[in-house]
Amino acid sequence: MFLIDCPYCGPRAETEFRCGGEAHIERPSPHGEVTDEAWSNYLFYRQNPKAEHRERWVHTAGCRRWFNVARDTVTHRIIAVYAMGETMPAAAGEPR
Amino acid sequence: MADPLVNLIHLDRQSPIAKGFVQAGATLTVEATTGIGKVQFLSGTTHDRFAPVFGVEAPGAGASCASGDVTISWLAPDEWLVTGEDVTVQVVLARAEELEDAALAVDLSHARASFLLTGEAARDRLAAHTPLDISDAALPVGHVARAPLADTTMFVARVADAEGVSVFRIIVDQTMAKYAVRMLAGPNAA
Amino acid sequence: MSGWRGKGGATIDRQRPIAFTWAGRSYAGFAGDTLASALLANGVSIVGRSFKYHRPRGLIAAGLEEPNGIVQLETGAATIPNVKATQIELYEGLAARPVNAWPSPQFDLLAINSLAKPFIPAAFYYKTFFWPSWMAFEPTIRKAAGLGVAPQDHDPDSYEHSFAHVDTLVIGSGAAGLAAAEAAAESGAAVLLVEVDPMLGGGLLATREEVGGQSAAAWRAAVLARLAAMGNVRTMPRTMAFGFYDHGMVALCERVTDHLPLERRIGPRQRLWKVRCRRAILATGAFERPIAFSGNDLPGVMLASAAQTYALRYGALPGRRLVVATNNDSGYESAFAVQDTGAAIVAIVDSRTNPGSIADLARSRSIQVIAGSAPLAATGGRSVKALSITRMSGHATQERLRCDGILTAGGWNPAVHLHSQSGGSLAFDQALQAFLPAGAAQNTASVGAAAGIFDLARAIAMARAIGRGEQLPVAVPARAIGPTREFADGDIAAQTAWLDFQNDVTVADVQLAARENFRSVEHLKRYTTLGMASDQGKTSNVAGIRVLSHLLGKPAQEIGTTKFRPPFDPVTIGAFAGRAVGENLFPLAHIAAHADHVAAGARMEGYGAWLRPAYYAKGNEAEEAAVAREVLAVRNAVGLFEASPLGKIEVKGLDAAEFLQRMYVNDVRNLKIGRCRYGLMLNEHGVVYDDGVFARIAENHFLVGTTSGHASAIADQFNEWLQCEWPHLRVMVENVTTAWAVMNLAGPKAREVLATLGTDIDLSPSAFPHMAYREGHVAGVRTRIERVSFSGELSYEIAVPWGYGAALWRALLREGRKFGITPFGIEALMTMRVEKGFLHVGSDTDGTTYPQDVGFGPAIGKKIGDFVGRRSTTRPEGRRDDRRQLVGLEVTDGGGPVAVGAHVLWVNDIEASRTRGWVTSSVMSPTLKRPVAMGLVAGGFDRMGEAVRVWHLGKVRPARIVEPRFYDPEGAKLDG
Repeated sequence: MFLIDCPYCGPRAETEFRCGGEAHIERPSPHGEVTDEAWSNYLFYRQNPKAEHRERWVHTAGCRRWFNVARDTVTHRIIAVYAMGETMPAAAGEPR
Repeated sequence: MADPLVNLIHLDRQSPIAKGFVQAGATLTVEATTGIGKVQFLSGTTHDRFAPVFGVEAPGAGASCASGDVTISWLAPDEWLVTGEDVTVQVVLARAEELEDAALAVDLSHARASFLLTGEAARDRLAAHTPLDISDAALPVGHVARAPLADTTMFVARVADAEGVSVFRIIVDQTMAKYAVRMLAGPNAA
Repeated sequence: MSGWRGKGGATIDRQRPIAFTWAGRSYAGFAGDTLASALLANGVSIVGRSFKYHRPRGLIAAGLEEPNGIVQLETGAATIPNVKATQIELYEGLAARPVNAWPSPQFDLLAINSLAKPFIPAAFYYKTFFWPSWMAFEPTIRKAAGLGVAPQDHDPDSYEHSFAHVDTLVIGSGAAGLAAAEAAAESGAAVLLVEVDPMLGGGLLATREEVGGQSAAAWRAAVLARLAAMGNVRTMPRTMAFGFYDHGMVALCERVTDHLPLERRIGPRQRLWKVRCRRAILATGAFERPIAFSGNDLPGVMLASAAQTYALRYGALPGRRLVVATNNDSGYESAFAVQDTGAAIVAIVDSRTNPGSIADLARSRSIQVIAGSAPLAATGGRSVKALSITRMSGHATQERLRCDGILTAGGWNPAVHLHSQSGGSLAFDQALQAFLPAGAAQNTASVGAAAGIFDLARAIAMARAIGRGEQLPVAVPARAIGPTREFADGDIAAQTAWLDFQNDVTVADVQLAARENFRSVEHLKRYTTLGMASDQGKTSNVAGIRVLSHLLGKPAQEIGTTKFRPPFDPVTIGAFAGRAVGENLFPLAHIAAHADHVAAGARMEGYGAWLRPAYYAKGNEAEEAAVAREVLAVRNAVGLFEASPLGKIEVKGLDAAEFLQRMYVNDVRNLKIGRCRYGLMLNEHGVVYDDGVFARIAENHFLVGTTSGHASAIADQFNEWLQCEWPHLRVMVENVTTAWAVMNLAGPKAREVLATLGTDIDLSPSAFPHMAYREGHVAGVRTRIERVSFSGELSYEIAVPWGYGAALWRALLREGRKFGITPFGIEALMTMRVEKGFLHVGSDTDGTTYPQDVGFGPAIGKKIGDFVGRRSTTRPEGRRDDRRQLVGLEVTDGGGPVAVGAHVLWVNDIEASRTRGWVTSSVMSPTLKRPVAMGLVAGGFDRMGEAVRVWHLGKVRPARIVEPRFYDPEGAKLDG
């Protein structure tokens, strides 16, 4: 059970959160011009790294805010936590 | 059509929504008439709007402050819970409403159930049902949190000690009030 | 000979005898005994029969690593199968019996299996019992195998959970654990020390070694006193740490009342703790290894350290003339302890050629030491009678020792389970021939025997340093243990040399697995079942790995261990459930007038998370009659329904309309203030997800209605879109479902009932038309009312603050009585909506239904901007012209309603051909007195009036596709 440092509430148990999958996914638009392939990528294709994974989490039992987490999928070590809409802090990895 | 000002029928409010308990080491009382309201400001605008609506400076994340006979508690960035004297809560909500599209004020007095848990065993009772660290150091007097309570969610506030014993205000959705009482009463309560 | 009670016993109180029952016979033990020590002291040598071959078995261990002493505890509702006798604290009146022996362990009928042994080696079931079919043999085999009997009644015990947050968690209270806990506490940390045994002290309770010039007992007492005096230390005996998870989360099982007589147990039986620690110190000790030789499973063969524990803690001995077989010094300490308690040691057989000074000590105690030798074969029918020994490199019997017990000391395996579960790595130590903790993945440190440090003084010093927070180098040189005699591949003696006692796995089985190419440690485990029993291989895994290592010529480090998973030792399922049982497993929410519904005779059902009236039975009414009566009452007069669970979400802000425009299929921006609209929401896959009515209550303020099941989810989704995708939109969202109770007045007389109740809202049709929203007061309380209709009649959904809901219900029934008001439930409402052909998401739609399939094609065509799911509706699958579309269906044979799920076929289809669609809703209409149905039919919109066939379970009926508007198709009733 992870201990996740919510940017608003502080460290809390994983059971207070829900994971929203891979972070920084852009929703293709305008809808009239998006190809089937681009829309399919958006719906179904995700990274599956055996390494650092950037993912979205929401603190459902707490502040109900979404934020981003960079986590090592092998060791489960949480490398960084940063606000929704921000890019990964430079100190911990190359910015996106 | 009947004159609406002449109420031939008067509707009673069903209350309290659940009964508390008194046990060795833990007492749970229902705050049946307390007002509960919620004010949301548009994202990032709290620092301008808080004082005009609530009459005091905003407390930090996880904290609460008093304003007359109500308490304002942090729930999330730009989300505030107002609890206390019902009439005053309504006044505060009305002030927030004056901000029109810059705020959403909702009366939750009927949507929530509020309890006070105290006693030597109160902390242990609560710790049985939440992963939140509710030790004296992690949740000092005046601090608040939203967290799980067994399979539901609660708002918990550490209010002033009573005769040296910790007191917690616990607010859950009214549909989960009886369940919350059953959980806090322990497995072998009648 | 068998076990008996000798001298001493530090844990037992000879002044307090305890009566208990075993296998139907009465025995006596003492307070402080475990069931195992009491059985041993009473001479019970056969405690059960083995799993597969039903061989007689005795105790081999004193702790939770015991594989044989599995018992059925108590009877009836309180019975628990497969509990280890070594883990049961003896209490007055305890009753237990063996699990796998009938009629008794002494004489077990299924021992016949033992004769079949050559034909049923490991994995035999993968190669036999195929013809005619495995299922023919399975019941018989299942009855013959297995251990214990599952209880038939509900668990009468209650269980609790709890959470704790500590700085330092110390697991294990032996010398190293106590020293680490004290040092950590002295440095200011909040310390939690847990110990599975009822007494703190670990190995200190069963040793005569001195610590710093004091006896172990005195040292222990002093440390415990100091710990008790510190306010930042909590100790928990009878508490097992069974799982190490992420980020310092450790799960504990605290046994609260298991040690008490049944009638004295009050409160929760066990408590499951989830502890978040900043640092964990693993002082989990080590398990002694048995030595494998032919006949090593005979009752009377026991681990040397177990015999030492039985002797020093309980004064119990496994026999009177014992041989000790060892490859290291600890076997000698066990021999001395057992001798001092009253047994004779026939000889110590040491595999080392030069045992060293310890051998002289033994000889000074008149114990014969035979060096450079190892056990070859034990003989005896139901218990040990003699042991043949051989030279280390030989096969012939060197000497035959008459004895009634054999104590084996094959070295020590540090208990690395929690270290491994935490992600830590292991390294095989050649000197100790054991896996030691290597790298830690979390903030953990292993101390004492768990780290491979067996010297008491050194273990304490290191533990203190680690407790203080010092980082220490991992590698500590250890004195090498002596050699182990290996079996040649195919050696017939390997067939009776046991490794896993509980699952009946021999050295020969490991050789068989290797021969059949199951050479990875995970394959070895599953092919032979080595290590898969309830003891999880605590006394067998490493031995099996070493046998495999020797066979393959591959280092044990390369072979590795199988994955360590929680729980470390069995934990009862009730402990995991905790309080989530009975009505607390899935608590259903009550609606506002719940008590009134029940009093009115409602049949309450769970609809999602809510308990709601399905129908109200009058007298002996059956469901169908009640529903029909309710429907007719609504259509002809007026009915009352509680609609409180329907979702209500406030959406407010300058961009509220724009936001909802993106959430709904429908247009939102052009909705006038005070009006309502029926809307459809899709998910991003284009699938119909929810439907409901939304109202514009002010320019920038909406009230969104959702199905009751999706209220929270949709509020969450709104927040997700606003926070993640469109953070620039100025919108606030609040779920107010439980703030408002809603009563639905429906029927031609609805307006009159509401007017009689009294409201300041103008109810005239022009002032309050269908699909309008009004605010005001009713019966003195504030209200929000929407004229929306799922029944198809004149209908008002009257919302008041929840606390007034029950009173409003009663007031409406009272005022409505003269109009013939009737309460109606979900079933009547569902019947009426089918009569109207109204969509029900989840009934008439499934995970593939797109909005164009249910008639929203034109709405999408008119809508300009994007909305959730829009792009998905135009994927190739969404543009097919044979998509299933929602239509009405009428049977034309004059019979009853068609079954939901029945398949639609074209008239020219041959019967078992591909489905053309299916029936999604179907009722016998009380209003129209004929069946009406809806279904999803391929290209249905263009097939109006077409005859079809409806196929259900082999029977076919004629039907016709029609518009799904059976009752009041023009909607005249709605506008009343």
